[in-house]
Amino acid sequence: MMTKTKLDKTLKTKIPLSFRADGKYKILFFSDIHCYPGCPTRVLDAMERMVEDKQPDLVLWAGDGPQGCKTRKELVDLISQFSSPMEKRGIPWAMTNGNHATRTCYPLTVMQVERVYEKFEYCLNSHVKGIHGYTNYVLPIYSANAPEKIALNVFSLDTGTDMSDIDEGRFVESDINTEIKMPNPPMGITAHNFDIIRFDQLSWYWDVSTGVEKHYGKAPAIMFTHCCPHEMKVIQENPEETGAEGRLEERIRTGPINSGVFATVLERGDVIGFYFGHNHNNTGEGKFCGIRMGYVGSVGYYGYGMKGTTDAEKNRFRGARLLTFDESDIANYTSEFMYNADYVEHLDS
Amino acid sequence: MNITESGLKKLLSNKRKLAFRNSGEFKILFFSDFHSNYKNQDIRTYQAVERIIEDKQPDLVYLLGDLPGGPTNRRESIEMLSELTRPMDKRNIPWTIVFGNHDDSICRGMPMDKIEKLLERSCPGCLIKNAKGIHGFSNHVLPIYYSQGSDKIALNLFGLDAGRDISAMNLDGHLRGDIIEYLSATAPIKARRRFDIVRFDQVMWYWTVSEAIEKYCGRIPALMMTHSAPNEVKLFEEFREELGVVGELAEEIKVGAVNSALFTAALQRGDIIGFYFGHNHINVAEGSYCGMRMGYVGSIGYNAYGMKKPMSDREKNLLRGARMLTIHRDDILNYKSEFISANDYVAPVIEVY
Repeated sequence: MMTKTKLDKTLKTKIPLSFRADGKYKILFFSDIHCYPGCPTRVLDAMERMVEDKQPDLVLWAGDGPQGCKTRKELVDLISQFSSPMEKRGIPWAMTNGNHATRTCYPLTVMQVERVYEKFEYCLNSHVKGIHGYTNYVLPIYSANAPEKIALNVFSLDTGTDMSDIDEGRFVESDINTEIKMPNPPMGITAHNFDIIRFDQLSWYWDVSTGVEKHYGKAPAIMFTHCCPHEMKVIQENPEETGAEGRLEERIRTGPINSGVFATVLERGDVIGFYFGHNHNNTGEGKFCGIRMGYVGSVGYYGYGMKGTTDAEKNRFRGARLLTFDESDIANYTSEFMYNADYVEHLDS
Repeated sequence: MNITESGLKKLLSNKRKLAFRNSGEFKILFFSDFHSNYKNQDIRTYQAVERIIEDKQPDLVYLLGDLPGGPTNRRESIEMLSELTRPMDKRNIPWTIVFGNHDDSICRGMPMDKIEKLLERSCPGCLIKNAKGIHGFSNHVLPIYYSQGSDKIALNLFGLDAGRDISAMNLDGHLRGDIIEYLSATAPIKARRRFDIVRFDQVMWYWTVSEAIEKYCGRIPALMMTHSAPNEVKLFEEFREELGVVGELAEEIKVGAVNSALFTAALQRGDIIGFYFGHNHINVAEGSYCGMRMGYVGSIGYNAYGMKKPMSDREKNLLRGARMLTIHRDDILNYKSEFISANDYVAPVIEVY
C-alpha cells in the first residue's frame, strides 16, 4: 500500500484539473498521429479544427505520435508543431507511449523522450520510477465545487514497444522478452510482436486506485493505453450483447499474452471506460462487464489505412474520439467518434 | 504486501517436511475431478487411486479439486474424505489440495473456510494451508527440500484457488464477490465459465511470496497448480504442433471471457516451470508455452462426466486417469510428466448403453 505522502505526490499534476463550473468535462483523444519531421500538415489541420470545434478540457494522445526524429531539436520542433492546438490555447494534454516509441527520436532513449514531453508547458506527462514503462501516470480531475474531491481519474499505462526495437538493446531490457517472442514466429502472429503491460504496472495502478479510495473516496476512472486489452475481442465477437457501435472489422492487434489488465480493473471497480488506438481501421466501442471499451481511431494519415485506390477510400476511418462528462452523472458520459473527413477534405474530393 | 524473513519461514513451514529422496527423485501424483458421490460411489475411483499409488509410490499426492460430494454434515464429510484419502494415509504419503469450483459440496451448507479448516485439522496427511486476507481458500506454497537433512529448497509448489461456481456463490452469501455479477453476465457471451477467477490479490500473494523466496532463499523453480486452466491453454487447440501438445483434447477447452493476470505474472516472475490443472475431464494433454509446461491431469472419478455420447461404459471412461511428475533434483527443468490411464488399473464394467 502506498503512503499518503507518496499518493499525493503521484496525484499531483503540473496543472490542476477540475470540472468546469457547469459540471462538464471534455476529453479528446488523438491516436496514431504518426507524424514525422517535414510530414504534410493535413493531420495537424484536422487536429486543430477538432480542438477548435470541440473545445476540450484535456487532450490525450494514445500513442504512436511524433516519430523519426534524428536530433533532439527535431523532436522538440515536431512536438511543438503537433501540440500547438493545445499549447496555444492553454489546454492541458498528455500522451502515452505506443509500440513505436523507440523510433521517436533515434539518438534518445524512450526515457529521454518522455522528459522532452514533460518540458512542454501544458503537457502533464510524468513518470513512475521502478516499474516497467515510461508513461504510467494518473491525472485526477477534481470536482467543480469541492476542490478536494476527485471526480474522475485518468490512468495511463504504457503497453510497451516493439520487440525488434527491444532487441537492439538500446532501450528496454527484460527477462521475459525471449519468452514473449518465442511463440510468435512459429504461430505467425508477427503483428503481435511487442511487449505487454507488466505486472508491476498493474500493481502500481492497484495501489494508486486503492489509495485514492481510502483517502479521497472511490472515484470513477478512465484508463487509456496504446494497445487494447484482449477482452476487446469479446466485444468484437459479440457486438449485439455488448452494444457495440462503430467499426470493429479489423483483426484486433494487441500484445501476445493477456496482461490481465482487464480483470484487474474489473476487480478494482473504478474504471468505467477504457480507450486505446493502435488498430487504425477500428473505430468501435462496446460495453463488457460494465466497462465501456473503445477505439479512439487514427487521426494521422501516414500510418496504414484502409485498402483503396482513392485517398477518400484509404482514409475513410481516420478520426478521433471525444468523451463528454457531466459531474452529476459521470458513468453515463457520452462518447462520440469524430471523422477527419468532417474537418479536412480528402485530397481527391 | 511485504514479507519478512521470519514471515516467509512461517509461510514455508508445514506439518511435514517434503524432500527429495536419497536417489535424488521426487514424484508428484496428481488426481483431479473425483466428483465422488457419498451415497452412490462408483468404487472404481478408489480402486484406481489405490492401485496407481501402489504402483507409482509417489512422494506427494496433489488433488486438483472437485472432490464432492453430497455429505451434508461434518461426520459424513470426514467419512468421505477418509475413504478418498485412505490410499495415501495408510502409506503415510502426504497430500494436499487446491479447491475446484464444486468443492463447496465437500460438505453442503458448510462455508468454504470451515471446509478448509476441516481438511487442515481432521486429515493428518493433508498439507493444505490458506493464506489469510486474500480471496480463495487453498492458496498455499509447499517447499520441497534437496534432502531431509538439507535446509535448501529445490522446488516450490504453489497452489491457488480458482474459485467456486457463480450459482453456488449466489446461493451462500459468504462467497459472494464483487465481480461475480459481471462474470455471470459474461455467460451468454460465448463464455462458458460460470465460476470465479483467480483474483488480483491472489496473484499478488504469489508474486510477493515468490519475490521473498528469491530474496531470502535464492531463485528456485516452482510449479503452479489451480483447478481450472489459465486462458492461455486455449492456444493448445489452435497451435498443437507449435506448442508440442501431447495427449488427447477430447472436448473444447473452456475458459472464461475474462483472463486473470496469473499466467503473465508467473511468466514475469520467471520461477514457474510447470502449470497443472484439471476441470476439463476429457482433456488430458500437456504442452509448452512461453517456456512453461502446462498440462491437464485428467479426471479420476468414475462418477464424473466422461466422453461425450459414449456407446459403452468403457468408452465413457476412456480417458480416466491421473498425471505423475518425476522430478530429479539435479535436473529439475527436465522433469518427466506422464499421463496414467486408470484403465490400466481397473477393469472396465462391460455394459451396453
